[in-house]
Amino acid sequence: MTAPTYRHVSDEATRAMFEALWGVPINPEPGLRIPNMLDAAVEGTFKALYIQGEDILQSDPNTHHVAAGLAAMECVVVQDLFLNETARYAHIFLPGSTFLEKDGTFTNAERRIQMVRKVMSPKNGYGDWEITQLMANAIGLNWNCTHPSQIMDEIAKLTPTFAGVSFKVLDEMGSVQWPMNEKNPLGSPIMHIESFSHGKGKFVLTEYVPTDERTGPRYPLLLTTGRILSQYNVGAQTRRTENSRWHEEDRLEIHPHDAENRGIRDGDWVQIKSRAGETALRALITDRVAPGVVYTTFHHPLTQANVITTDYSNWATNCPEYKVTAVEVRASNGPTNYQEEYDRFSKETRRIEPLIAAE
Amino acid sequence: MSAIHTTPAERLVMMANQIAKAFAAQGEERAVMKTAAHIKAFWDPRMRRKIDEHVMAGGAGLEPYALTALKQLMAGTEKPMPASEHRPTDQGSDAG
Repeated sequence: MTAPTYRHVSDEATRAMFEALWGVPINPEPGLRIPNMLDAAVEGTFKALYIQGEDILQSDPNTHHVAAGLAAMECVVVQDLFLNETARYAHIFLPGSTFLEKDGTFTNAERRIQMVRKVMSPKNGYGDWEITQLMANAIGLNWNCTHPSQIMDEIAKLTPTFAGVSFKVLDEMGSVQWPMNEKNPLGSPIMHIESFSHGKGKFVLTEYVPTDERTGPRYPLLLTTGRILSQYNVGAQTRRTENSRWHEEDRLEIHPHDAENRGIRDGDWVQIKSRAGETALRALITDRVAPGVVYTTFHHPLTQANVITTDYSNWATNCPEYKVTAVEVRASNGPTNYQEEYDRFSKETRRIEPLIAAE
Repeated sequence: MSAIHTTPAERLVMMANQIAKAFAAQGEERAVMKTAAHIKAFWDPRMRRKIDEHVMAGGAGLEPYALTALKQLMAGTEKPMPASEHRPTDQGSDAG
């Protein structure tokens, strides 16, 4: 949909740069965003997905819909450090490599490009970029990068704001902030001095677009989901470390008033239900949440927090609405059947057949 | 009202209405123009086809600005965004 630095695919000059270097025509129509890909998969028009380092089955809203989308595809390739949740639906699983096993760059939120150097060779045999190249060559393309610095050189060639970036420059300067090009030979620690890149800023009226999700008699509470510091996002990496001592399970935080109304005690199993689905987890009674609001993290797959979240999203970006889901909470005696089945299937899909010696 | 949009067409209607609503405060002419530009820039052709079919079938559920914008897109009569406006396809737009 966009080339690096948000150049829209309908822009002819941008397309021409890529077409010239890659030697293929590029479709000027926009592509699909993740939620729309899943819709299209269910409809049967979106058939294959190559996922690197992302665990959409756990992170994305409305898990049943995500699962239906993945199940409908003809080829799902997952490349990750671990057999993550999405790998349940993978036709092909490719082992990824960690940041310690490859050369490359990280770009942080202040536009700072930083070198990362490998301290050991990848245990799986290949850096992630090499796996992608091997796949490309297996389908008849002729890619022959021999080092990640050549990939950065290509980015610099195709991205005007990266024109001056290379591994050599990063080595010399330590790190740089893009835009880095002829106009900004040392990079740009501060952007938008005096004016924006397009000239003056323009103020426009926008209407507040509230969510359509509503509480009511059947779903009187609002669920918000979030994260804590000791677990990273879906926890694919951090759950497998000692960090889990700080956060062993996701709990449903509920105000004492709401808990008392429902006969819920601290630590009890509770069922939480929305219009999208239901799951169960243990309650944590706390006045950190306001009456009428319940909260949970989604770091642990068995919690199935995103079974409850809906397909509402932001109007401009389709960013999912994780913070407003109308729910009801009631006492329960343990995980739902779905959670038990999920757990059983998880264990089954993680069995590894022993190697049998060749005759 | 039902909160879950079970059919793809319902989801697209909701999305189109939300886009039109975000621009509504700018008045009909600009709201319709910007709604059309946003959909053109960010909806994949199969989403466009699906909503076109829905419009041809009567466009149930679509708010007036969204419906007008979609009809203009179908007819190819949408107004181009003047350079004085921030176009969704301008570099730097992060709506992608």
